[in-house]
Amino acid sequence: MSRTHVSCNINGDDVEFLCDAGESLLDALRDEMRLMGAKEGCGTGDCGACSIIMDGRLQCSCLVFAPEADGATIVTVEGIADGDHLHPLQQCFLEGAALQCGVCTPGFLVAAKALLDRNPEPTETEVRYALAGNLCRCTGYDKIVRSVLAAADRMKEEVAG
Amino acid sequence: MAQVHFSSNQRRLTGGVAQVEVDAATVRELLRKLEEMFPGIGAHLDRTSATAVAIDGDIIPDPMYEAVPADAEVHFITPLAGG
Amino acid sequence: MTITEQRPGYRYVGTRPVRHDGLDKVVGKARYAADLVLPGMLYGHVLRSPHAHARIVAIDTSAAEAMPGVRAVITGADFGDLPADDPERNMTRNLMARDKVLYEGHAVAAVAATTRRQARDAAEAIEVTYEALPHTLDILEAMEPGAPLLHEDIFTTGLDSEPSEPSNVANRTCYERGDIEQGFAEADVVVEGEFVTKPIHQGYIEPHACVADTGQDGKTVIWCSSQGHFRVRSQTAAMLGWDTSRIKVIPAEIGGGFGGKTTIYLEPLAVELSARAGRPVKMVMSRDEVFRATGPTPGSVIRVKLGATGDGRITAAKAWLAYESGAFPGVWAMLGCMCVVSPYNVENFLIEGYEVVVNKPVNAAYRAPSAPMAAFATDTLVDEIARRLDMDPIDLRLLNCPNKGDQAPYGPKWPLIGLRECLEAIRDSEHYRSRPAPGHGRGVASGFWFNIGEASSATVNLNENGTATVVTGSPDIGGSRASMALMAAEELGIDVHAIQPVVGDTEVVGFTDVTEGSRATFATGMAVVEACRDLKGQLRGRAARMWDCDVDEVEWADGQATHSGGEHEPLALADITAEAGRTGGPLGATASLNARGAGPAFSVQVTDVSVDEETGRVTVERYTTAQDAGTAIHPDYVEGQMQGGVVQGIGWALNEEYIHDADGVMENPGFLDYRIPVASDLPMIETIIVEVPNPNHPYGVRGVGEVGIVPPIPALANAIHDATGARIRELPMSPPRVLDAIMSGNGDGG
Repeated sequence: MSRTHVSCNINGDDVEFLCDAGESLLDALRDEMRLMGAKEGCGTGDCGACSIIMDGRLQCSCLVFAPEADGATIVTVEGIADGDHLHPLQQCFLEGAALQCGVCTPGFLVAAKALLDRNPEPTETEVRYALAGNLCRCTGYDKIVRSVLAAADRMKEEVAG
Repeated sequence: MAQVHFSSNQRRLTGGVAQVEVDAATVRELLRKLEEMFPGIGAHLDRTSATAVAIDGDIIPDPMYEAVPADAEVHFITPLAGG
Repeated sequence: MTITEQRPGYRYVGTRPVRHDGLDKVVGKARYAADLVLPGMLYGHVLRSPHAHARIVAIDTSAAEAMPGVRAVITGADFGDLPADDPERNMTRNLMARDKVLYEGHAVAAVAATTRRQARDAAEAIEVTYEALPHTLDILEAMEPGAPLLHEDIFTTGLDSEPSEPSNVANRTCYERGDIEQGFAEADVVVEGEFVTKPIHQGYIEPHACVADTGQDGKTVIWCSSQGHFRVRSQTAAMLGWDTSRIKVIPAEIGGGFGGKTTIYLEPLAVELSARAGRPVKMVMSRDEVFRATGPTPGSVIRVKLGATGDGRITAAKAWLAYESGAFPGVWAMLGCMCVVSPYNVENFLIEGYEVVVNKPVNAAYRAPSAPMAAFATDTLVDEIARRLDMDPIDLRLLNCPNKGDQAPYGPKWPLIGLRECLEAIRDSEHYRSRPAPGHGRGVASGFWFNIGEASSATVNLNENGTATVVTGSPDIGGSRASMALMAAEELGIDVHAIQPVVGDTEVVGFTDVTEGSRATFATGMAVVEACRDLKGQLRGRAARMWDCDVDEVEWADGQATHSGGEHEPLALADITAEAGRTGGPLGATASLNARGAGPAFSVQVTDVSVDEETGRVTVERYTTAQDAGTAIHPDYVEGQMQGGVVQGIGWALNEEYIHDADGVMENPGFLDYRIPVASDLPMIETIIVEVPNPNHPYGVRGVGEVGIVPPIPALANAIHDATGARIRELPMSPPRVLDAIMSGNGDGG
């Protein structure tokens, strides 16, 4: 079976890879690109652990066929930090103890970034609804929501400062 | 003398006795003496997968070599599982 | 908010540093088992039973073996059978069915192939001939004589007379004290009810995963996600009939467990496939497999009757508990019996429990196993008593609260416990002192869990630059590395980030039991402290050598050696480690111990809910939990455990359940239909850490991982009753059931 050639930009790098027609983008990221940050928690788009931002939109990469990524610009959790400078969300997740086992964390960070990219001053309710597609079984979400709100505040200060 | 208490299940093997006093330095010796008093109970209690011991409130799994302090309160209980 | 009583002045314990493993986890670098890729690695896939109960007549693997990419195929015939009395026998028969499949999802064969798809296709090409057998899914039905029998060799233990026929009831447990008839005769109020719960899943986000690499020397290395890699080693050895020294287990990061990863499902299959193929084999479960084939917590039917005097003293309790254990017996009913009235002093009680096998996945531990269902019954009825007597529900609980020295229902006397302090913390909280908003209902409940000690090992090495490496055998399932580092920092007097906490594999650290029973910070922490104290003795000795004085003249405090006579400038830890090579060699210490005296855990919780009377949907408007942590080593992660436990309890109460069709096939094996709580379902979970130090731990730690899940079900049931007048005694309290209860006027008048 011949494989499909895909060119795209992932975390700022132009990359090419071969994939099967029916392969998920999640599998391509993990198996072809060795980007292991996105996790498979369900494979059916219900848990959000595989969240990525593709052409500006939050997506479950397990629901995207890898060939659909041709020409796309993709951000994964590995691309959120600016070099050795953590994104405020990452910093606030660390300081706010917003992770326990950590397996859902990449998905939450990506989903939260997608939220703050379009809504820099979300309310608690907006945060809760924006993250409703991401499952966390450890934290009860309290510290995650607080950390996203803290990151929004910090980014506002950075812009103002 | 250690105060040994039996649960309802165990009382089937003690003829209904709920509590006895036993002079024993270790759980192993205690079991041996209990077996002399109540034949059959030793085998019942001596399955480490089935029994833990609470000595003065401290629950000890797999307790065979555990020391039994004088005047200790001893209960044979279910070993715990946890999440 | 933290309530601290007489806490000594600690420098590190009780602070909230960023966790050591945090950075890797926020940048996507942390390695979970499914992230490992080895050269030449194959993929394994398990074929599972479509039947709830069937005899395996024949398995034909020839077509599968001939398929492209297939390198190995195994079935139950490839594994030996353990003796009937071996405690691991049921585990091995759960990992791979032998003569019968006992539930839908039971493994019958496995394949290793070059790609995932090839492995899956080949597994589906295995032809299994089944002879379907009648199955039983309902606890009460399974207990009846004549019910379809899962095992020919289960004869109920604990009955007054030895049964002559096998049954699905594995054992009967009984606890009794006092005179129950007299107790009820003294009661002015008697309440009773039957409470029904369904199996629910631990719901960890990371599916089970492992990679095994078996060499031609007959040894294997396993990378896996588990709560205890030493148990992975022993269980894998038992399944394969191997000596444990042939197996090395390297713990990957674990993506949640909650008890569900205290046993194994895949590892021996991967090892065997790898041995046959001569290549590494990765196995990763799908979510569907996680639901169908790994341990849910038991469903239950619990009947409780309580009597109380007019002034609120509980005089008698009668409880009948049946827990379904899935396809093989567990200890769930016994644990339920030991928890069902434990937050109350009751002089007269009769508690009996039954462990029942049914054709469903084999149950595994789930956070304070068996306690939440029991609390649902008891704490709902306690609420009814409070209403009948027009008493405040906290005051009623305080009146019946056990103290140190009182006899626990399961036998021993209570050690120092913090239930009273938790009740008072809730009573005095801003939440409880405020009135519920109009239309909202309020409920309170309390919960108990034992906590466990068990075996732990730790090695602490001081590096030449004055930093330390702390190696333990406890997988970090929620921040325990940070707790270990904090305790080591406190002992050694060096900065918490000068300490590197490491989870060691089975060959670099001493035996350590599974991370379960809320034991890691308690027991493994105790080993860390012991090793550090050994090191402090060594450090004093080295300082004495450097000063050429007697060791008795050296004191150790705040991370430095001081001379009692003041003749020498203090030596910091780094000053001593820098000279270690010249004063006797590297500094390191190991401690291995059986931790004793895990202090019992209690939690008391209050919640306000609103109920949509048109749809039956319950919204949790406010939630506050108080829990005795003994001493909170890292308060952030104590709060995290409390909040996580509460929210799992909320999911259990309101949404979650295994749904099987009449054929025993699970109908909701995915997160779309098995709905766990999401962020938009919830308010903030307010926490009050109560600290009644455990005298058996050097820092007073009590396990905090589990008890938080115990009170939510009755707290929510009581709040729903307060809001609607409807008493719901069956889970989940999902919209249809709540609506039905409201429409049918299912109140108790209380």
